[in-house]
Amino acid sequence: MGESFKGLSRRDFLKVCGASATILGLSQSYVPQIAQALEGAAAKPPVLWLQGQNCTGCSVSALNSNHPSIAELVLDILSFRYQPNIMAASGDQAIQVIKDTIKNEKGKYVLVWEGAVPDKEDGLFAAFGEENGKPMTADKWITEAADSAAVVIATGTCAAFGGIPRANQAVTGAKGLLFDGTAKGGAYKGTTPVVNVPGCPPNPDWLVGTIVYWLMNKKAPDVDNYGRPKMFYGQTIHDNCERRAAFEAGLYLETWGDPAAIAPAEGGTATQNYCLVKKGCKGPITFSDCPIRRWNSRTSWPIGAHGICIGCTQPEFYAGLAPLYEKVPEVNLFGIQTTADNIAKVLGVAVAIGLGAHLVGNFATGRVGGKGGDK
Amino acid sequence: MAKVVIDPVTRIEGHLKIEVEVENGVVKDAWSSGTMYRGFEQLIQGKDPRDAIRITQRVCGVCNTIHGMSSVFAVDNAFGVTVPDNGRIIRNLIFASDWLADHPLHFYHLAALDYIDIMAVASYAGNDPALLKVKDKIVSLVKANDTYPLTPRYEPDAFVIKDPEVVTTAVSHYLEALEMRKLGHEMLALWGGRAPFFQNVVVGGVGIRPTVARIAEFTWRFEQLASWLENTYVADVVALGTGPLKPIHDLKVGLGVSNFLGYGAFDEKKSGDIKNRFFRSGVIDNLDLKNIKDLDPSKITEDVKYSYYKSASGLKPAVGKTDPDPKKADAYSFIKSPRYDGKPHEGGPLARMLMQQDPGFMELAGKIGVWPSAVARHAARAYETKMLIGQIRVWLDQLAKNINGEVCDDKALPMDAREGMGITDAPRSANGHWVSIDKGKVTNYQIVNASGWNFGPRDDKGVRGPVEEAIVGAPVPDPTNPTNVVRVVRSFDPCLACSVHIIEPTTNEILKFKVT
Amino acid sequence: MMAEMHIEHPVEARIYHYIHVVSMIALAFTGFFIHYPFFKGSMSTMRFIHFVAMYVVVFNLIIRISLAFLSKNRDYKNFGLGMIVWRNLFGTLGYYLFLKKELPKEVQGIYNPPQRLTYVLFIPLIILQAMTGFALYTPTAAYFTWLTSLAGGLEMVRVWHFSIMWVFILLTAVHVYLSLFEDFGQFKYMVLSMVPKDSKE
Repeated sequence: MGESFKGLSRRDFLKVCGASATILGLSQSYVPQIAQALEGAAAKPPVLWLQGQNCTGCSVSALNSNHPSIAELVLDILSFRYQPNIMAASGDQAIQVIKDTIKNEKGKYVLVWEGAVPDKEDGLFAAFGEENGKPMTADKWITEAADSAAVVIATGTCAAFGGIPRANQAVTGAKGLLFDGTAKGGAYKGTTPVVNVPGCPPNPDWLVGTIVYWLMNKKAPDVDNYGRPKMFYGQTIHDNCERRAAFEAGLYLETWGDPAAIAPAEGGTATQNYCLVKKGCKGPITFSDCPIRRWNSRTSWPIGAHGICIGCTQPEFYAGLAPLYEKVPEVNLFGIQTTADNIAKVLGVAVAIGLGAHLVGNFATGRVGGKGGDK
Repeated sequence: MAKVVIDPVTRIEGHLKIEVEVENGVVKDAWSSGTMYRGFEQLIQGKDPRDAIRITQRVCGVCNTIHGMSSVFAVDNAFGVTVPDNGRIIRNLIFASDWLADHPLHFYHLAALDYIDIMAVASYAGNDPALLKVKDKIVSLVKANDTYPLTPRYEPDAFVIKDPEVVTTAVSHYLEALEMRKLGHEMLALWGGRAPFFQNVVVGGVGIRPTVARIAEFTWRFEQLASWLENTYVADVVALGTGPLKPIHDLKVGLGVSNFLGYGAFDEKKSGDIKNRFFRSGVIDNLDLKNIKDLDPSKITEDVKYSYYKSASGLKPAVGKTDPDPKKADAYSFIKSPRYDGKPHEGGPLARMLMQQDPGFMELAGKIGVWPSAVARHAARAYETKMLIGQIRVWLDQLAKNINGEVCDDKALPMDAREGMGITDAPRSANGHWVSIDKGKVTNYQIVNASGWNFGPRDDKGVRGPVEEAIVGAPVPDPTNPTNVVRVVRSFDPCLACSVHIIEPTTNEILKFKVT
Repeated sequence: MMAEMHIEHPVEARIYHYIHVVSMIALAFTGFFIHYPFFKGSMSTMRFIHFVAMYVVVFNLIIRISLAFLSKNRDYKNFGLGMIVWRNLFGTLGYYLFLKKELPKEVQGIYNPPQRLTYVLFIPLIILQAMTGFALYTPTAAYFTWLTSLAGGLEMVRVWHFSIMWVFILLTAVHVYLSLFEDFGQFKYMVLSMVPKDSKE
């Protein structure tokens, strides 16, 4: 395309490609390959960004993208046909854009889906737009929009697994696109490939990186059992945590803000920042590269700011990880919400009482200490 | 009479539908309905109350700090903790950083496209290199025949700014603002771990301790953002509000209910104490600015006659219930109708600034005329940004002087029955959480969310909510281009996932105007 | 009635039992520490002991099973779960629960039905415990991620691992109690190595 690519100078264009390589953790020697992939497209790839039971946190997080920036993404790299938080159109005009894109760009557009999809009460718990005076519900939209898409990016834990709305599944029927928590069987039944980019919210790099990867390779990145790209979700927080040494040394924070458990550089008096597992940190079971990638232009991240990891990229989030500030989750045992610790306590006491009673019985019947005692 | 449905209303947070009846080019009646429900109040029942501080932030990805703060105030209150000064100040810094990121986002990215004809950029004839770059960008989009997401749009009406110089400058500020608001989130992340959804504010205070290094890291970002906000954002709002947009204000587009309410924001003495806040709490009735009443939270109730809930109407939030019924007859919104003393009240920047009556703001308001309107709300938002910038410097100073102070009063989960209330103003309105706990679990949780105050449907008496009221009277000469309606709606900065209680009307014929 | 039984705990069986007891106690103790560090101690040391003890239990079990089938004193028949077990299971349990006055009359070999069931159940439980342990130890390794998915996430694997440990603890409590009060001779033989006079040893 030489001089100008979709409104960018050659120099700016290569800058965008370089930024895309950075986000994917690729060496800058990949820049020509990225350039080729992006230039290969005759026009900017169309994107539909639809929302079900969402909170817009994923969209707000995407606004924090740095390399490429959100302005570059929206104006230079992609053609955002529908993104309800930034687009100019409202009402029927906006809905018409979705319909036109589905019809005219069949098999070519990227569908970014944010939020869970509820199916109780005819799906009325999430709707946008009307058709013949009837609300268009999210569960209708997902089938229509995903079937004609080239790829679906389920952004955020709600879209991927059901997330927080799933904790109220009994009422709204909220599910992810392909998953219902850790189990397969979400709201989308079609065959278009779905890549999960969970997180509450997802780091902008995870989302933008996944989109750029797809544009470059025209296929989904290598994913784990839960459909998450391994390049971002390949390891646990715990394995890369800056406080891992404290965990190994047995140094644990017990009281928030306690200077005796915080490093001098962070305003405390301890040798290092103590591990937060006793405060319920979900780092050991949570997969993401937060400790390395960090957040908001790499300014900080939850554990770096002395808060726990709440396991927000996990399919179990939130109900399966509650209570967040306890070390083990509650499990549902025959309809009773309790912890493994409590079950153990009850069984332990029951066994102790049972054996004690048995011993009394043994003496009472003369099996022990009586005539039958010496067996 | 023409019925206009705007569904979805875009460039807001959440799912909103607005329906209006237009007669002789003027809106006669309006219905605002939220079209999404997840049920945070239901799903947090039986959970650990400390989880609420993390989970209720996810009520809304835009207002997350507000819900986090309201929730932590409520749980603090229930636990009976005394937050140390440094904990309180760090919470203020986290909260304020979000306001500084949120206000320009609202003005440039959500609202501005209603006021400018972005295609005028193509006629820019000046030679400012930065503006020429903006022009090149837009022209190349037009040439490539792909101007999404800037089009389609409502046809520019008579009030839209078409001067190429002004529009091009505004668009360049739109692009700058995208970068600048990131700084606000970086400031938030420095104290809170990440943005959106801060992670380290806990019952009793915060987990993070202040250090000189962190204050410095915060300060350089803050001063860069502050200077841009004052010289660009505030300047833009004032210039546009007193200039090209004054005709819209003069037409009194978006008058509203003239009752205002504020919970106050940014604790200056004790955490959660509504009497000692940087932005005052109070109540104004009928625009009577001489008579600002004290806020009495016990006068807050929520009506649900026109909301999709089968639970009782008119309940106080501490004993409120949220039990959805999306097929309830006559109902048309998942948003409840909060009322103070039985009357609708507008919350948000205009309410705050009228409560505050800072001489600077009153002077600005005097210039354009003191009445509530879409333009006045934007002006109030800009002015309070300026006030907040000054106060952040004060907090940083206080923090630096007491750098070794405690940050958290960490108390164990109480097992007895407790109740807590946490209320605070949000960038866009007044937000409150009420929690009841027993045996270490949440037994009841009610959120009277910020946008509920403004976007709630009619109450039991049939009185319209503030936004519905504000839309009435808006000139809509062409029902296919209801630009003034969306201008008014967006001036309230809707943020509706917040209004967790929201459902879509299915059969109700009245409801036809949709805003997403 | 017991006297008619030919009871033998050859030395290798006793050594297996000693090693098993010590490693299981070490596993439970370090396991509780890893679950919730209840005193100031090095987590890496605790984890190290936990892993070593796990390997000891696993290989010890493999050796014991080999001995049961291959050694001079092969005793796999003592653990058989044939019809004799099912015929007498409820009779034996009834005796323990004071529902019957006498143990079943049938000669059953050295282990009675509940004992046989418990000892055999230990084998799959130890295997499951080792597998859930590995799934937690290397959460990214492909060979156990299927287990993690099956359980419903790592947190659930942890709950399983923790619960199985409690099954061990409770079964062991019953086991120790019964050996002390129902058959102290066996306890002396197995634990104190007080070899009975009529033993072939």
